Amino acid sequence: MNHPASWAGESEHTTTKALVDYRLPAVGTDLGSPPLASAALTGPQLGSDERVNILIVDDAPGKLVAHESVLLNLGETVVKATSGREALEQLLKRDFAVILLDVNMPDMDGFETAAMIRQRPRFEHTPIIFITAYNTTDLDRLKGYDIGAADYIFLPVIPEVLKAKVRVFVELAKQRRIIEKQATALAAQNEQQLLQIRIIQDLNARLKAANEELEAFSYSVSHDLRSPLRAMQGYAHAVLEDYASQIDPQGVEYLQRIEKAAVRMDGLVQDVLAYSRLAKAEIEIRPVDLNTLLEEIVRDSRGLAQAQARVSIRKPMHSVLGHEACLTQCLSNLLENGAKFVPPGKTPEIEVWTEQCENRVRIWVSDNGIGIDPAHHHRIFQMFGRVHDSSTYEGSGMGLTIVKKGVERMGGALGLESDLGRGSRFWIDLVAGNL
Amino acid sequence: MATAANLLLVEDNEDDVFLMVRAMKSAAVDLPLQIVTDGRQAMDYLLGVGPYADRASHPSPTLIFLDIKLPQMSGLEVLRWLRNQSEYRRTIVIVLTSSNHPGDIREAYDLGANSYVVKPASFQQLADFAKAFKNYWLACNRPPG
Repeated sequence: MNHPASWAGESEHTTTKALVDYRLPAVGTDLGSPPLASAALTGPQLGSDERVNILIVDDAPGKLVAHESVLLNLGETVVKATSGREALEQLLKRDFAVILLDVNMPDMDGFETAAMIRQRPRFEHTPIIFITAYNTTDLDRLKGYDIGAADYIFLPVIPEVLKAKVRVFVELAKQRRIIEKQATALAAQNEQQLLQIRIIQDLNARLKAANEELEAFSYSVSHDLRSPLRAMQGYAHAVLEDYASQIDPQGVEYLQRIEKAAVRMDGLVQDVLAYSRLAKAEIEIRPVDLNTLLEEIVRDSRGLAQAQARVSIRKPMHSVLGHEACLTQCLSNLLENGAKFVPPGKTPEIEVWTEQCENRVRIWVSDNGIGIDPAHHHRIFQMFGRVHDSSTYEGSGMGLTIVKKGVERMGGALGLESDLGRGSRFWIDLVAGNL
Repeated sequence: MATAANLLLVEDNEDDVFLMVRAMKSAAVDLPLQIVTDGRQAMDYLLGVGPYADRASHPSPTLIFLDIKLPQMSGLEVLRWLRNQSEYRRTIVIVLTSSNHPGDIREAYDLGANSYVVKPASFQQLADFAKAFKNYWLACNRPPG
């Protein structure tokens, strides 16, 4: 521990004060101090159980008691040793904030004791204050600093000087203790964070594995579930073609039902696959020009053409931030729903327009179809959530689930306004593309 | 020596073989159609070894329909192999599969497929494909020869 320069200076300075024997007056006043006052000296951060140890080593029992009585005033634990050997024994038992060593002792003197103390790694840096005669030569002092003395106190000891010097090291020890506690807490926190990172990494790895498993699953679904359906449909068709004359009309109808069911099942499998692909696909958000996108959707849609739907696009449309393939899937599903869910004999009329509100654009898709009872609104976005039986309106029940997933993946929102018999108005909110 | 046009179908599913043959018939494709049912057999056939040593009854194909999901060796592996055979470097390969997985599609083209067709759900659509195939690949298209 480095000794502050000012302290060395001050200690020189204070020694020039009146060299009064402190013992008689000091003991009385200091011991009479109320415990509260001494508690205040230890600083507000530490409770009374946070006391530190001070070791005083002197071969003269009288001096030991005198030092002790002064230092007890600091509110800390004072431990006495009458020889270097005893001091070393004390070091085995506990830590010390500061060690006061009488230089002039028989057997092992203060410097020798200090050298022995320094050999123990635990006490390598413990501050040592030498108590020495006033006439100590400069050479001796240098020797003390060599061994690692933090300070000197000259005899006769002035109680205020002793107390002030020891207090500094007591405070230092306490500060170090606080810092050590904080460091331990920080290390624990770090360890906690590392643990959390490991947990997250582990979860990520498991999620990745689960995703790969799902990928493999949907891959084999596309292969293995669809192939028997093709066979069912194909053989039913072959029977119808080759043996139609030998089967009565009801048999023909049954075969046609088998064919249709197989085709419907295939559509369902494909929709589930489209959904899982959309859920996993990498989404790249870019400005999308809805004017051309909608033109292409209307031009390419088989569903719209078959229903002979009239689609009007109110131009110009605001551009949005979205993933083009995903948006195409979402909008074509909404448009085809608009064309599909109309009363028999009615021409589907669909209107598409956009509204911009600050940085959001709302895409509206409105139809003149059968509408949806508000009681069912919550169900229509669920997987296989159907409102009508599949014989009236064919479909997998996946169309709006796919739309919802797609919009979610683009960070948007969707909803509808609809009532039974009054058409539906679906909307998709996305971030405006012309920011 | 220019071989007369003839087709090889690599397909392990006998139902799909049945439907494909039937669709080709419905489209009046009257070229010889040979069938092998896995990747290893496809390699043997293309090399003309083992049961396929007789080139008179097992001619070198001028066009190959290749399924991807095959036992033992996938169609994509067959494709990679045959593109490294000087005899089949340019042979027209139409991948005919139930997979519409983007990764499969990309890889098939990367390996040199000439066309990629997802097996349609209904026989009618398969018959439509056979007709379109006949009109384009057998009529419009100029084969490498």
